[in-house]
Amino acid sequence: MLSYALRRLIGAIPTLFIIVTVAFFLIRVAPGGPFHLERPLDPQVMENLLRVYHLDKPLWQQFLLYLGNLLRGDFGPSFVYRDFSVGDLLGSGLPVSMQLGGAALLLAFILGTTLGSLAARHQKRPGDYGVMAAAMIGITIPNFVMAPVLTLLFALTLDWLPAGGWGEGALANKLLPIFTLALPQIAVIARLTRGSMIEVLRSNHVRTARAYGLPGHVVVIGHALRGALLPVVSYLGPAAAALITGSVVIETIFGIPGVGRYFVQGALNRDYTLVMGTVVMIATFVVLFNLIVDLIYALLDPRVRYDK
Amino acid sequence: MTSDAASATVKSRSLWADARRRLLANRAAVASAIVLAVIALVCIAGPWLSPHGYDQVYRNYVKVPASLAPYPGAEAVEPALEKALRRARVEIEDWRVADGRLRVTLTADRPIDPRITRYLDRADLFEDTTVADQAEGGRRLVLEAAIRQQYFLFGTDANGRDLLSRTLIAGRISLMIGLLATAVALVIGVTYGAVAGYFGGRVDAVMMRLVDILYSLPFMFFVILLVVFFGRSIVLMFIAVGAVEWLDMARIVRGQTLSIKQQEYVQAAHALGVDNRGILRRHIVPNTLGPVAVFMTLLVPKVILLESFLSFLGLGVQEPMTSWGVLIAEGARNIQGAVWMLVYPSIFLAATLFCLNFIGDGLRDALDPKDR
Amino acid sequence: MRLRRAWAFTVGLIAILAAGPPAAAEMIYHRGNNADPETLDQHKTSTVYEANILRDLYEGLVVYDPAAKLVPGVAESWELSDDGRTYSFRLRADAKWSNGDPVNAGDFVYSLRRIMMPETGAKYANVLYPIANAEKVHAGELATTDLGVAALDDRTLEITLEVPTPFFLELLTHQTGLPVHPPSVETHGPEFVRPGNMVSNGAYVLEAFVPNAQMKLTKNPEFHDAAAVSIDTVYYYPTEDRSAALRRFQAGELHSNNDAPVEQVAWMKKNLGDRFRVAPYLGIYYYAVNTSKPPLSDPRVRLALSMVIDREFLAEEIWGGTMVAGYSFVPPGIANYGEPAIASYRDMGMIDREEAAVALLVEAGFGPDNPLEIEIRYNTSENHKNTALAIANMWQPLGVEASLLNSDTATHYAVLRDKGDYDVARAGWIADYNDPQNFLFMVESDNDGFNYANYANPDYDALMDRAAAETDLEKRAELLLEAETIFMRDLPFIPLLYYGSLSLVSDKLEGWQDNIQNVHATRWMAIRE
Repeated sequence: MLSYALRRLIGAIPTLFIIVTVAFFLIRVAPGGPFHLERPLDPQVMENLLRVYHLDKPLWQQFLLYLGNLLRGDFGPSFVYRDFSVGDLLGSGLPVSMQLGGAALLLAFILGTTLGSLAARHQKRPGDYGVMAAAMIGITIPNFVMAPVLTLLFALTLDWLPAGGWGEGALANKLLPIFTLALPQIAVIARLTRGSMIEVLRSNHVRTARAYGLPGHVVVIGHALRGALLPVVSYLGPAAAALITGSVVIETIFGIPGVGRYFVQGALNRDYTLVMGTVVMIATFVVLFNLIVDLIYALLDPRVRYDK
Repeated sequence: MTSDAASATVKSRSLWADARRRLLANRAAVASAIVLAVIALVCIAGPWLSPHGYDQVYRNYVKVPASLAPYPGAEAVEPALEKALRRARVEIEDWRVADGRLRVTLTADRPIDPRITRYLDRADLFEDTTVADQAEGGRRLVLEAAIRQQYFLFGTDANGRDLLSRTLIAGRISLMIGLLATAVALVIGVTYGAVAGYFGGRVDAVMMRLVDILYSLPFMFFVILLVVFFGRSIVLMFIAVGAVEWLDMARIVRGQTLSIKQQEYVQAAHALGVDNRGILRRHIVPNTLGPVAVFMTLLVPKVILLESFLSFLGLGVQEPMTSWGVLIAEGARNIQGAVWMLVYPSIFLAATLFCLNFIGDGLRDALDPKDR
Repeated sequence: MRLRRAWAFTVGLIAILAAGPPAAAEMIYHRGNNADPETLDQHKTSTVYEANILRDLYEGLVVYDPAAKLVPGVAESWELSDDGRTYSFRLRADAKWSNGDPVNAGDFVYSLRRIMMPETGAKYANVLYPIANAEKVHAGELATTDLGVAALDDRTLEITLEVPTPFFLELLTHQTGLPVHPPSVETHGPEFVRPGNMVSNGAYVLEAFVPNAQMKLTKNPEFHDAAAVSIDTVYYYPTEDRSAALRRFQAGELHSNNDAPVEQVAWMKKNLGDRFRVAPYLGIYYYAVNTSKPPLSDPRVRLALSMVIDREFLAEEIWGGTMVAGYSFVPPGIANYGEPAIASYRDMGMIDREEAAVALLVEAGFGPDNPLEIEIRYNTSENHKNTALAIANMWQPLGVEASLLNSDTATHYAVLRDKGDYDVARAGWIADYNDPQNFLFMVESDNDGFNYANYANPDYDALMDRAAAETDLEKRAELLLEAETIFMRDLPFIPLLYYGSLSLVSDKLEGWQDNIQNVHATRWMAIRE
């Protein structure tokens, strides 16, 4: 197993290289540039700006420059947030996004698997339908509707929580964003868990455990859950990468200083270096989480083998 | 025993016939399928039957609330009258509404051009305006007009367009995209994931790394470039959406395959000499369909909302055409002022998704080989 | 008895006097600012959001008072030479940087040279091009020492201009005219903008900045007018989502926000009353027309298209009354100008306008069997979309087949700037300074960056050149009016609406005055709980 993990990690390096190269040229092809925004710029001003940021050099030269800097850990300056380097922006935003995303992930996993298992055990009875209906609401209502609705309820009507802002990391400011982030994931995980749990509950080893007279919850948690979690874990790999790197909608609506907004803002502003930074960041997370997920498969289902 | 007699006593059932029978027995799934069919029918036929065009602008009825009572209300007549005649340089001396007809007296310093009736006709409230009487050499004019009753059952949007018609025509786009893009993602994802999981080893590694690469690339730029190179069309939307969604599906199927391929029946099929293609087609793929069916029901809402995000970037439906995702996004911005803009499209979307949910569950239950 | 009472009284009096006045609570202002600044370096700046923050941190030669009138800042007085080309500023003796250094003329010379240096990459250097040799310095053709600024002594600054420029003082209120602290820039380089490194001469200093979260400014004790500044701490929040900002405002978390969700205007007018402000704002919302592309190259077509647009409907229904119908290109109320050139059809009835427009189109060769096809481009926004839809609808009676194309902002402006293929495209312009030249210069034929319409009219250019050289303000206004009249006849841009600024202002905030430049420096305000 360890050698497999190491092989994967080493294999990730060429993957990252390919991603960086493709992304670099992909984003340059889009029309417009970092200085083509609402306020028109004087042509001389534009020329100076392009020169200052080496954007007037041929593309392959810019790419080599970028690679050189990247290998030294320098993501370059942001073209739009000119006082900060991309490293600064990502460095200050990532911990925040990770806090929110990690908490949401944990909440979603625990609640989702619990609800899904409950629904599976009471399949086709009112409990099942109730849980699944609630889950559907979580999936159907998009987060840009859920966020204002929850804000109106908890912040303006009940006045329990602040309506927005980061408040330097106060817990009260984090509750609404975490919950809004987690809600759709709870729903998805609940449904996936239910789906596979129903299958697993009928498998031989679970039937055997029941035949032994083991109580229901022991059967579920000790025996059934491992098998049922496979699709959940498959889904969670990329979902975790996405959650941890922040949600642009949540961060914009609640005013959270995370990195999620940079994915969209960077692209819309054509802030090339910032976009590259986010690409590298998410690529790293994706590769990492997929490795973790694959390792967890092997843990959950001992028949899964990677060495061939 | 003759072969006829033999086949009369034992009729073999294929997996699919079995599944179909079970699905049809699932009342929730059948009911949902019926509701979904009704929604689809309404969305297809509705816009033709509606008295309002989906892109018809009513300048007098911007953001009016949903109402079962016909418009205009009594209090809307006077402001509409003043607006219609605003630049006509006349004084409204007196006006009256009786029996659904308006009678208004106008005065001015100079003879009034009788073509002023066109200004009243222009307003959405009045029609068939005629000059009933004139005096003082044309300086006093009495006009009569019929008040046009209209129904806006779901209210109107920010441009004064009937929301019911727009919701229905939006349904066409959303249903089409939701189902077709999901189908595309399904076919590609299942095939890819099953192959990767089944062959394992180097093949699996390469295929999954490709998935990782595609996953990490900035989706926004990919979309922007599609618009640049191919212009905007609905076909492109499928491509863009399908290109992103198959990745998750592939991953889930691959995970399932990894565990399924170790099962006894697969090993038995190997022993019997079934080729790889056969095993994939008859054993692996059908057994992954359980979670796949469930994931599909999760995919459709994602696709529908993703489409609204694409429209935000300029790819996707262009105005005046619209989709539920776009309508809901507009409605979310108007929660505190015009909540009907959010509520009605959301109801349609939610109903559709609930139906798909029960159908998906029904499919999963039907395809589960152990459910007897 | 009497003695005891007197003793008690005295003791009581002493107690009261000894207690002193009640301790003043710290006055904190929570201010919504729509977006994070891209930079706090005044020489790289370009957006209004940065201007708001920089105006609190630094003080220029001249500043705006609460009503947006020009008043002395660091310069206590100034003189203009007879030929109108040389300004002589006398600086205050008590102006200080936040580290105690005095603000002297050399600081301004350094600052102005720095913004013109090509290496700085200043986005708004062209605002100060009226300074002698500025354009050449910025293009790298001359050294920065050739720039027309000089410090005659520590308290006297001389600025020489290329040509007499009546709006030059207004230009100095722009954030590009703010000084930097030379030793800080020399020591820290571009990092001088970080909290802890930054030395500023305005009412506030930068204490902390968390991107995307908040910025904290505290009162600058060295500021020459510190005694009159009431607010001790200002928090700036980037409130990009306007609806979310409205909710935070309602919850009392923000004392003000410099924009409001247009979709909820009716609700805000009803429920917020005076806390929701709409004020005229010096800017114009317009459609650029590609005059080099037939059939839009025919001025009759452009005039027909412009005539039938019901701007009052757009202003009231689509924009909820937050914009004003615009029938001229230069907004009314602008300085150094009289009544702008108003379109002749403003007072015509809509049906008469439509008839005239149809006649024009028939003359130009369009009719029911040859319909005009136009594509309207706009960048993504709910309001731009609704405006385009309404206008397409208004063009229907002319038989125009209009299609809409929505693209993201960068793509939209890339097409316009790079002279791409388009028919009609939405654009907007907010004035940099209070003078009609700042609107009319856009369609001069040599103005590559701004002339989206590809308009080239030698008569127009000649009038603008003459106006630039004219020192008599009234004559100059006449020349500009002639130019605007040509503009309104030819319509390279179709003006639609004059901008209004929307603000949310809490009852507890005092000193916020609506003004045409939408500038509200914190130093003039106070919070009364």
